Amino acid sequence: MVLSIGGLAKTVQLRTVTVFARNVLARSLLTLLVYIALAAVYTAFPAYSQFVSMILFYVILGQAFNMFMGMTGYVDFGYVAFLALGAYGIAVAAKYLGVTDWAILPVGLSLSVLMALMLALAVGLIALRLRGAYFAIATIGVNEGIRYLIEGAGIWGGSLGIAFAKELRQGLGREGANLLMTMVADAVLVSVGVLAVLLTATMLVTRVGFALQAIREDEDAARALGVNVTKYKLIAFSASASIGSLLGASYWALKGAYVEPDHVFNIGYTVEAIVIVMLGGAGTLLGPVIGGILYGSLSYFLNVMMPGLQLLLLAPLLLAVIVAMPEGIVGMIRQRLRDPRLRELIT
Amino acid sequence: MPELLRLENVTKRFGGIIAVNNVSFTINHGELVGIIGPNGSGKTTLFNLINGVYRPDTGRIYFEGRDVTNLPPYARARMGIARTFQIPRPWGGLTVRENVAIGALFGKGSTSIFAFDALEEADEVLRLVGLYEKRFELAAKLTAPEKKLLELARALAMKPKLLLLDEVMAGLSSAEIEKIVMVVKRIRDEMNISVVALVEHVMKAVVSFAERLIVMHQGKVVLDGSLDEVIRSPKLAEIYLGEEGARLIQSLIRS
Repeated sequence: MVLSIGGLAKTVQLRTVTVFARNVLARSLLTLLVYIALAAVYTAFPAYSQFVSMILFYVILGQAFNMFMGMTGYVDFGYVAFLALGAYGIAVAAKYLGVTDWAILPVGLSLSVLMALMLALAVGLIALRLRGAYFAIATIGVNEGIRYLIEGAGIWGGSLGIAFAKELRQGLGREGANLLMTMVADAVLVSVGVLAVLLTATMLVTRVGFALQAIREDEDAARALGVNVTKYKLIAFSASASIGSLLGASYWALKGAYVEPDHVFNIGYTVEAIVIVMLGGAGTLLGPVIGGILYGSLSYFLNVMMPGLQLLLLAPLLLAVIVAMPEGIVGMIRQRLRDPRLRELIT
Repeated sequence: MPELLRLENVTKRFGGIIAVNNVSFTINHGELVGIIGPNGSGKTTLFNLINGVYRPDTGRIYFEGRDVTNLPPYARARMGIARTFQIPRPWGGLTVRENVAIGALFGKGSTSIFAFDALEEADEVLRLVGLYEKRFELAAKLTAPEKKLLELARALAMKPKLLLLDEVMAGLSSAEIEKIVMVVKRIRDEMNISVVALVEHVMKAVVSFAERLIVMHQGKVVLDGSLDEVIRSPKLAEIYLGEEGARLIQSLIRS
């Protein structure tokens, strides 16, 4: 038995393709390890729990944004709208659907993803016909449009937003609500991150990832060579939107029990997502993780050390990094490698 | 030989310019066809019509008996029409092997979800065209002739029935041309792929591989026949050199 497995492993080793499979697996495990490490720090040092969840937020934000922007090169400036709808999914379930027991998790999260998917399809089918800057401009309008619709028409509490801590306390009891808003919310957050890694890794080894990268490099050539570009862009857009909505649902709505349009539709988060992906390396598995940790830590410590001045320092710092390494940190490592074979491994 | 591709009275206008004017012809399985004609004669437009980048204003295009006139390029590619670009358009940020694997993943009859088999197929095709040693290089880093070979490899990985080569030999050395001609002949013989090659200037290349020549001039097909027939036709010289030039050539040949 052992022998036959050894023999199998040997024949498998001979195929260069398995090197590709192995390295995607290795990178996925490495990325998952980061999540495990963060979770370990979180449980071991409760004092740092807020810092760790913030890092988690930025890592997942980078990974979710990377699924579409990093893989296809299309920049969605309205991306934060998916996070916002995700947050509203939980809030609407608690406040208006009366789901205030533990069913808030399955019901609320499903509603979050459903609303994000509906928006992704509606926007995607129209805006994904546009290219480059035209797509970016069209998507800014989506985010602002939904925000003003909610604020102006007074939907879902209008500009005041939805506070549902009271409802949660009634449904779950004080301790249950506290548990939901701390440990459970953070556990959901980590799970969303793990889901993002698995989805991205799956993309990278299937035709979806190859199609998306072909689109990023030359969309017309991709069309001429058999890639149904609209279909694959829509798949990536929807995947990225779903993860984004789960992120908004767990980090904003579950943790705070409060959703305010001014905060959740803030385009600043989209810009942060772009920075994280560019910093780490677009279209790679490890890039957004590295970018998210770096950006999150920098912004956290600068905020603690010199509140108010952190943007003044962060902006030129990031500019310098992006000018010096247009391919991001992972991209730079990839280009510096002597052995060309390794280049396919580090992505 | 059964027919593979049929164009019926295909016309394409750009504003007042008629780029392709009422063109009809049939390509059979396993044919090696060269399409020649001076600059601006409508060759590339014709390719874009066959490939689906443009839709004809009038006329119809049939592939394996199916009307493909209104199908998008990717659908035609999946039916078995592969092409190369005049100016190579590799996916520069991907490796050579990944480029070819994408061809294999989205080519004719490919339904595989995972990319592993496609990467192996890519290795095989890269051996055939002689780029195997470069398979882990980024495509953007290849030399111009290597990029042409990569275009050919990417198209071949799609297992096409019809291979459209757009100026694949322009700018190559005669050794490189010989290599491409060898590969093209080999795939025709082994896989019965029809090859249609656009050639503007490198007549030597056309003569060395095409069995049939179609000559375009001002958007129309003016000559269509076997290689011998066409290159001996006085009309060919007339198109390229004008009437006087043709007369001069004829007199030179006679003397």
